[in-house]
Amino acid sequence: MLHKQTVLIIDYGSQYTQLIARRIREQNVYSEILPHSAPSEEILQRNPKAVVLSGGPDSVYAEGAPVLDPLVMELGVPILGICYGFGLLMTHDGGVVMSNGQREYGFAELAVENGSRLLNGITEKSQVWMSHGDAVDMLPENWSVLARSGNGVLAAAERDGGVVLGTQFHPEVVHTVEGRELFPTFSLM
Amino acid sequence: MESTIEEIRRTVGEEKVLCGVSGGVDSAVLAKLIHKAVGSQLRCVFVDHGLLRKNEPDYISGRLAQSLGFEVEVHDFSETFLSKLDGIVDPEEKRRIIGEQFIRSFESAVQSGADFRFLGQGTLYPDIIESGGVRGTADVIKSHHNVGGLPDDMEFELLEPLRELFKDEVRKVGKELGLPEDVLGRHPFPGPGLGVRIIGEITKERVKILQEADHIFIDALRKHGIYDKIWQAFAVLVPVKTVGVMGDERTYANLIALRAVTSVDGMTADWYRLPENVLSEVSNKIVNLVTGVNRVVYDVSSKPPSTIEWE
Repeated sequence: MLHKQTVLIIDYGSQYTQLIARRIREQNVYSEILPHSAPSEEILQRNPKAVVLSGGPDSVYAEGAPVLDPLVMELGVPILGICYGFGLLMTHDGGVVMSNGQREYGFAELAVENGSRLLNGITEKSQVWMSHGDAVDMLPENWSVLARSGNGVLAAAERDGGVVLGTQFHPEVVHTVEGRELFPTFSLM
Repeated sequence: MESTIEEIRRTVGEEKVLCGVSGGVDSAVLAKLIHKAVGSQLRCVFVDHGLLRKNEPDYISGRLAQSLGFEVEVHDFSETFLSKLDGIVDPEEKRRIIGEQFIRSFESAVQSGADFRFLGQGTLYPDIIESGGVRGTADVIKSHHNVGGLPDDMEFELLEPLRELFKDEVRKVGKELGLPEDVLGRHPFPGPGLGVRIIGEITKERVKILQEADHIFIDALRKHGIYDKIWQAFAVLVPVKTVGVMGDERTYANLIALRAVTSVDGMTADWYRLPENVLSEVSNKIVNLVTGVNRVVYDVSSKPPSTIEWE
């Protein structure tokens, strides 16, 4: 059966993939998880109305690291890339990810620099949870910065008015207090 | 929940189910759930592996059995476990041995495992993720007692009806099944028990030290009314000997680390801001009452980068 309202989650090996599914389930929206190795036909079959790219233990430039199926970017649907997924969006669009950048694990403060409908209602210095060694060093031209962490790391960015969104922090975990609020908007986009 | 019960009934049919009860929330909910589905086809066995909290066997045969409304057999295998673990220091090796011995003990406790086709396990979602994920993509953080370490020649089929749930969801199921707050509100306790809270080699003496220290800590949390605000709290025995001075005498003894974290699903966690007076009371009591300890520290790491347990 085809779920016209499926949010597709592509799993790059994150510890939190099921939490992403849970956050979407909480919006009463159907979601499915596919491994990153799934063939393009499987993605097409789901006819997703939005796609989430999960985090993962690899570094985007590492040999053998899972890659983004370019088809995803051609679907014309909202895309949310989290952590590693953000890195994949960057490499696809011509941004730069640094492996020797600032590492962040656990608590970080989110400072919103530019408003976005997806980060609506996030208060100044909201708590977010990080788990990354890599970070985005240079955004592609068509992207804009939304927020940075207290350590200066690029924490969220978007292009096309939020249709494609990347977060370095993990909005799906409970310890990201307000960042989770992007799921209601994203799931219903 | 009704559909899960129906599914258990369908899977099990007329066969018998053996269920390991650990004293924790997951296995209590699991046992109650399976019992609701297949009634007396279920037999509950508690294996005392000697790596338990102080007074735990009494809790199992007393309060827990009473709350469940059916019998839980208690079998003492502590000597076997301790001898198998003799000289083992690697945490993954410890987990594997405990997991394997656990199944062996089960088989021995029920005499003939062949009568039981199914083994109920309270595996939850985070267990599977930390053991390498459903699809094998996630990195292995720790092999879990419920998932890793199962011997290949195991004679049971696994029944894991909670495997897609998170802890807070399991508690909700338990509440619906009518289990009382004090049983459902217990902090998570790992399958390998104190085995992974004693860093390095496990000895009888170290188990005893840790049991006493842990008991003092948990008691104080209950006394000050903060036990229920904490997701998980415990003591860890770190066999790093440091120098102390007790009664003008130089000591060279073990370190006890206290850990208390807040969490909702066990996936991420932050350290609990324990009030100073509680920390000071617990530290004071431990060094005064537990022989072999001369220093107490509080763990202030979140998950990530640390895990909740130390091993």
